[in-house]
Amino acid sequence: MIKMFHVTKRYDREYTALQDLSLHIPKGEFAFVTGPSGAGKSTLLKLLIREETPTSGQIIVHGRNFATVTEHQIPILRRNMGFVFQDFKLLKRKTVYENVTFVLHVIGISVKIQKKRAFEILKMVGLQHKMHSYPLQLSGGEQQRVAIARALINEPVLLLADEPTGNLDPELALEIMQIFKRINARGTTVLVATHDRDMIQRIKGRVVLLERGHLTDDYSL
Amino acid sequence: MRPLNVLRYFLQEALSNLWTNRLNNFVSISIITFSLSTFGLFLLTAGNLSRLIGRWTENIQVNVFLQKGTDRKDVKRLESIIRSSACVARYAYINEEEALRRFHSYYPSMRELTAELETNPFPPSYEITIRREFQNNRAVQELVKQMRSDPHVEDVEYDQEWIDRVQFIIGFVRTVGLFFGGVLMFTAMFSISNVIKLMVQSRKDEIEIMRLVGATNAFIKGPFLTEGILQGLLGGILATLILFSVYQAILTRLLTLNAPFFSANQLQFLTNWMMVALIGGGMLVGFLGSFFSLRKLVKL
Repeated sequence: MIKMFHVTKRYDREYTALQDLSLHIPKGEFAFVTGPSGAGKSTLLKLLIREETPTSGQIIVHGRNFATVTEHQIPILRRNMGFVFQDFKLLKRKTVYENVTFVLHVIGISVKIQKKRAFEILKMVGLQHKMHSYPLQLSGGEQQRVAIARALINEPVLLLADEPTGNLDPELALEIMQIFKRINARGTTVLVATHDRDMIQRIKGRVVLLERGHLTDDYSL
Repeated sequence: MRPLNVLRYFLQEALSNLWTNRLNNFVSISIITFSLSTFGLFLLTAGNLSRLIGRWTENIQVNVFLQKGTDRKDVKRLESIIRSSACVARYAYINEEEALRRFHSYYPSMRELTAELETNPFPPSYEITIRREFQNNRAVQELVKQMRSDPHVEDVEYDQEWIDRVQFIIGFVRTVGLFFGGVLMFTAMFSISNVIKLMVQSRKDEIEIMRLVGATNAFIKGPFLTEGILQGLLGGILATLILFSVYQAILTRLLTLNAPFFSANQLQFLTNWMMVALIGGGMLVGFLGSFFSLRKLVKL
């Protein structure tokens, strides 16, 4: 699913975010990217969603070599992925339903199908009763579940999450991670960037450890 | 089906944006309405003046006023000159009595004024209609010159001279209309551009999210462009309604005036094509205002 070959990302001469990183994450895997702040976790995810381009090296996601992807192809590439962020990144002036179906609007899916899929996905994250609420009317955990529903509604092959539980208390964080596990069990490859070692111990999966931009460990729990 | 769904989404978003930011949008729409109304008013004025002149030029006349007491021989001599001119379509001799009768019929309220006079003040005249193909022709000028130089001719009135003046005024009105209309349209475009810029700035986060979930540049810009077009559409419709009200008010006023050489049914509102062009122009201004503001602000 994800193949990275000798990837280096340098922001300027002084700061190297990732150094000669090679990584292979097969289809259907559940993996954590962990490490202290400044290790390069977020940069790795930004490279995978093509928000940043590597200074050197090759990245292949779902069979697409990013070196050959044009600016116009980036939106199409992103539609095959789902993203979950620490700050949820929900559209505050839109309801839960509108947030979740936004991706379907982007690809022009009919309203009838949108309604059906939105109900199914919100039911999966346990928020079907909050369809018409606005993000600010929800708790942090609920907002993150909406973000997960939005990430999954287009049935992506890859789900990327950047510190998805960073703003949540331990119980809610565990709940969110369990949702990720369920998604993974359905065949979606999941890559979660987190510095929460305790959570990794509880959830288990492959662990990729980054330190100062270098891959220092890669093991499974 | 997909493009239709996307268009519906653009429209819904644009309408929602219009309502959310209604104060700024109201200002923009007002400016467009004012610009298009001004532009349309000039068009309406110039169009009607042109039409009026067009009708008058269908029957361009030369009126040759003879001196009172001109004897029959000289009258016949002048008639033979008129008859032999190639530019004359038809002519009529209007004697003093006929001239007085016409005056009474055109200005019935002034009947008493002539009654007080001992003699008929109107001179006899020849009313010459010029052939259409000879209008503005040298032959007409020659005839007018010849008549003016005749000792038995008191005065010669030639319609074309003042028609030329009116046509110059119409041209001037058109040019001024185009200039002011253009300047106002530019102001409207600038205003729309600023409103859209404000909107984009306030939605920076939203645009970032849209990009991350795979929205194309066109999809992000779509609702903003639609909003600009809707502002122009509303402005265009309002301007047309205002113009129509002004036109109706003028028409009613003219009907009550009962002017002798002018009938209200000669007036005409903007043609369907002109109305479409006015509204379409508003939409284009809205689109361009939005387009230029987005070009710099929304980049993937």
